[in-house]
Amino acid sequence: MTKWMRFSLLIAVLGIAALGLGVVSAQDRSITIWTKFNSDSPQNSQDEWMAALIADYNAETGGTLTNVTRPFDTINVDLNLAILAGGSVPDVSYIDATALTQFYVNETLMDLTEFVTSADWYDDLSPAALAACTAPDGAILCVPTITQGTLMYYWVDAFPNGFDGSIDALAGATTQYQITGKSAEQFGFEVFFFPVIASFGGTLADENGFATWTQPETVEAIEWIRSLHTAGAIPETSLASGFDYENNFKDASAGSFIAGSWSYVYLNPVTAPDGTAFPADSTSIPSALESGELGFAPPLHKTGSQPVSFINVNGWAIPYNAPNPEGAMAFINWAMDSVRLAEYAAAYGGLPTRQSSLDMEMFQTPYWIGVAEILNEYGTPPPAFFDYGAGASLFAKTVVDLILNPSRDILTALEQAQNEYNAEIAAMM
Amino acid sequence: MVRSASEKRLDFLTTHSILLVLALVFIFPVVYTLMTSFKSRGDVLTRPPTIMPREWSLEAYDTVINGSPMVRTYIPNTFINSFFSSLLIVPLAGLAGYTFSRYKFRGSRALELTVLGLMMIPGLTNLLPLYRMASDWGLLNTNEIMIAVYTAGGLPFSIWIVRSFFDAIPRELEEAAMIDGCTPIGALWRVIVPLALPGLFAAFLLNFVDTWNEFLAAVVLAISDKTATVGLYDFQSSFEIAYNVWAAASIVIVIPVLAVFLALRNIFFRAMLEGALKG
Amino acid sequence: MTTLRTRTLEASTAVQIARRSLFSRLTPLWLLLPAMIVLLVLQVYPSLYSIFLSLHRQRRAGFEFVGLTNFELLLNNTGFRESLARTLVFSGWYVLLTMSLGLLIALLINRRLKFTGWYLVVIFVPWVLSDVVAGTMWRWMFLEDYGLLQEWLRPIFGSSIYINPSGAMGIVILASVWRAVAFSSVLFLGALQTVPHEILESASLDGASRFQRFWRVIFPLIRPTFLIALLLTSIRSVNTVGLILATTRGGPGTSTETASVYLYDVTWGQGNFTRGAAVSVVLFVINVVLTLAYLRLITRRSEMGS
Repeated sequence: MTKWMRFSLLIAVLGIAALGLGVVSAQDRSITIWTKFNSDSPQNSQDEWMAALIADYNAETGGTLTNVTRPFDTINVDLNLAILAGGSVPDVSYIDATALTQFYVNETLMDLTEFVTSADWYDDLSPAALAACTAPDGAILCVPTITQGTLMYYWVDAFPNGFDGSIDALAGATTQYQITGKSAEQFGFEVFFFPVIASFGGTLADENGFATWTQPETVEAIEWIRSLHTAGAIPETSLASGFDYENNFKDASAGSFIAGSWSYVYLNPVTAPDGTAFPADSTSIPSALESGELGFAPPLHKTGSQPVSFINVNGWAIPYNAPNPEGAMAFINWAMDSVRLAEYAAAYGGLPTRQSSLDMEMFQTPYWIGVAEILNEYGTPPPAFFDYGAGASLFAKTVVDLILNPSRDILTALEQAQNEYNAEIAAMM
Repeated sequence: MVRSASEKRLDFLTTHSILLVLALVFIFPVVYTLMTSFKSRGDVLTRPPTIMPREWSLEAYDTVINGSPMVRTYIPNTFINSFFSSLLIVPLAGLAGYTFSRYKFRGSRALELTVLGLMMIPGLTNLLPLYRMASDWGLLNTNEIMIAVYTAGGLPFSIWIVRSFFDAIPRELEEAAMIDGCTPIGALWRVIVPLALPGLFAAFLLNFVDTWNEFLAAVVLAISDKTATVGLYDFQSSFEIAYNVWAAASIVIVIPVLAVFLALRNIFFRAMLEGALKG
Repeated sequence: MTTLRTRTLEASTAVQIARRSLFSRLTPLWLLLPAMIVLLVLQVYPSLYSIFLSLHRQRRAGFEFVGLTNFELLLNNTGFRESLARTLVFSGWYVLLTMSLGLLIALLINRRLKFTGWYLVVIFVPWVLSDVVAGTMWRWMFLEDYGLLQEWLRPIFGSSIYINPSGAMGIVILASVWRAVAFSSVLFLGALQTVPHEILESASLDGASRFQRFWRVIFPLIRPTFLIALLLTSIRSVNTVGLILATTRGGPGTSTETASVYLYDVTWGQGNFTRGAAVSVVLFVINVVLTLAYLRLITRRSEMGS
């Protein structure tokens, strides 16, 4: 072998190695995320935001952002499962802070305390949102992005005597139904049962995560919810799974709607009681608000009591075993930029967790100012069930069964459900 | 034999009217789905509801075909899974079914019952171990794992179906062939397989339709390599179902499998009827 | 001499036959092997693994053995016991309707009148649809205010059939039967076609009512198929998940939460796979018990036959 040949071979090897390194460093910016947003065929502003984010990320960083859509009601379980079963995990995942205890128990998520506390957006974060991402042992397990809360939408014409979210105000509705909102499943628990029960004074979990469902306040609140159905004040569709109950507010056959700060994203097109039709996209509710046909108020509550708004924080988390944690952190830093975070929150329908994002123009509309007031004044974190998903859905099922069987005793049913849930929790602990 | 012509006509009429009513009841939801798929978004939620669209619209089909990877990716994906798993099932179930039909050895009855017993296992929990295995083998989100799982899933039933076809073929045929100097395998291949072909075909079609529509395994094992039924959920965003789009997607999904079924229905029915599954 | 030669010849044939039977004794092994390997790896192993899971609880670090705790919790759980009762209701109606409608359709088509074949094709269309599609459409047809069937049936069943606990169960049963009838019809039709036409004809002559004719003459002949169809339908009914999930998701409340839906909820809904594995073991036992009962019937039949 001549020197030249050796030399050119060396060059070739180095070249290939350099190429390889180049690929590797490009891969550092290539990450996979799990979200509940459908960027493949966008259906609403959340999905469109996701698609735009992917395009931006790929253009700006030269990496590849791959989004895997997971159904909204299984995304937290899917992540737990992927860790437990040793399946393929993403680099970053959307999570709901309600599921944090289960993530903590299963050690699903990477401890991000160091990363978060040293980030340049740390001082700008809402303390309440950060608390929602903090595990019992003080470790920060997720980066909070959005705070969402519940409230009421109502058709102004449906309530000639005015509407303030109190139970008495409901009775004045001139529409076929006074109210519509979801009762079934975990989601029904969050937007409807929990806020109403809490406004009656009931608490549903103790500090150890066990269920406390037999308080007289809770029974009283469920009695009232049951009476709504007996009186035909709420469409029975609200007891079914899914989201078909929304139609009764869209066509104004129901006067008020148990909403989340995000509801305007999905609730369209809406038509006011006087027949005015609003656009068939996420501008439907905002334009109805602007026209004065639609109003919003604090969550449904016992007349004379303080309303309770269910607060849920969502955020980005890095699973234990994530293939590319550095890339994941770089992505989170990139996405936590205050403008990007503000865009995310606006597209999602919640308040951004950074003060600088919240101060931006887009959150100075009457809607967002009102939402921020309701969340600040009445916001209450969810009950600390040890297994939140199981507790919330069991409670919702129990209440729906009570509504369907008006002769069944409320206290007995609650007690039985509570004992069974607590027995299962005790076995998990 | 001595029934009067009028009695026969009455029979003809009653039989046909009962069957017609049943057929209408059976086809109604499908027709309604078809009509819904031609409705516009605003037309879906009308009170009171109507069968026919108020105005015919292709909006939903546009969303399904141009606005999503359904036709480009999901359906071809489903086709690959269904076609290859059904294809694999044919020789596997054929050999096993033939063996159970022709050979009695110690434990053969027990083994056959065990295979049938596999049908009784709820598939849902097996998905977790399968998920683990797929992930260990690096096969999550691949057609390979779907084909493997579908093949195994359809085997017990197919073995049983194919076996009853073999039972219906007289033993004398292969005995004659063996006397003529054929090996058992040769007799199987030259004499029995051609006769059992309709049965094997029925097993293929049954599995093809079942796997085409399979949802739970696909959503667990291949979430980023979507099949058609999983892809349907693209049209159901977190908080709403656009029923017209859903209906259009349903029609688009069912067309290929329905076409296959209609094209091959004569062979299928002949096989199922002549095979006379008698257990 | 001749006798001797015959004997050697006989002996050598005997050796040949012995060899051949040794070979053919191994043949079933080779023929069965491919299918058995596939089943062992992808069905038997995961099932055994599920049994293993049912005795543990899950942590990231691995599984902790907890003995029969999962089963104990389950059997003390009213929610689960009620779901078992619902499985029996669902399965009972499903089997009854699928079998009787399937038989009716098969009997009508088997009269071999003109054009009846087309009905079979039409009835097979629901079978070609997927659970997910079918369930969603049934759900929609029964939606209060916007559902067509709800609108038509309002005079008979009142409003919100879909929200009424028995109404929801009825819809779920109907939707499942709607999809399953095709298959049982074709099974029965196959059996009926083996019944000689003369028997059908002569049966229609003896003056007995149609119903009696059927039970006395035709039914005994198709009984084996009947039992097989019963077995398959029963297993399918106990394991039905997809259609119920798509139609009602077990709701409203727990109205349509059969044990299979409960299993889905515990596992893929809440991520508790160890407890879910215990549920599936219980479901498997139920299937085995039902099947053994049916098999007993079949064995009794064959003893009677011989």
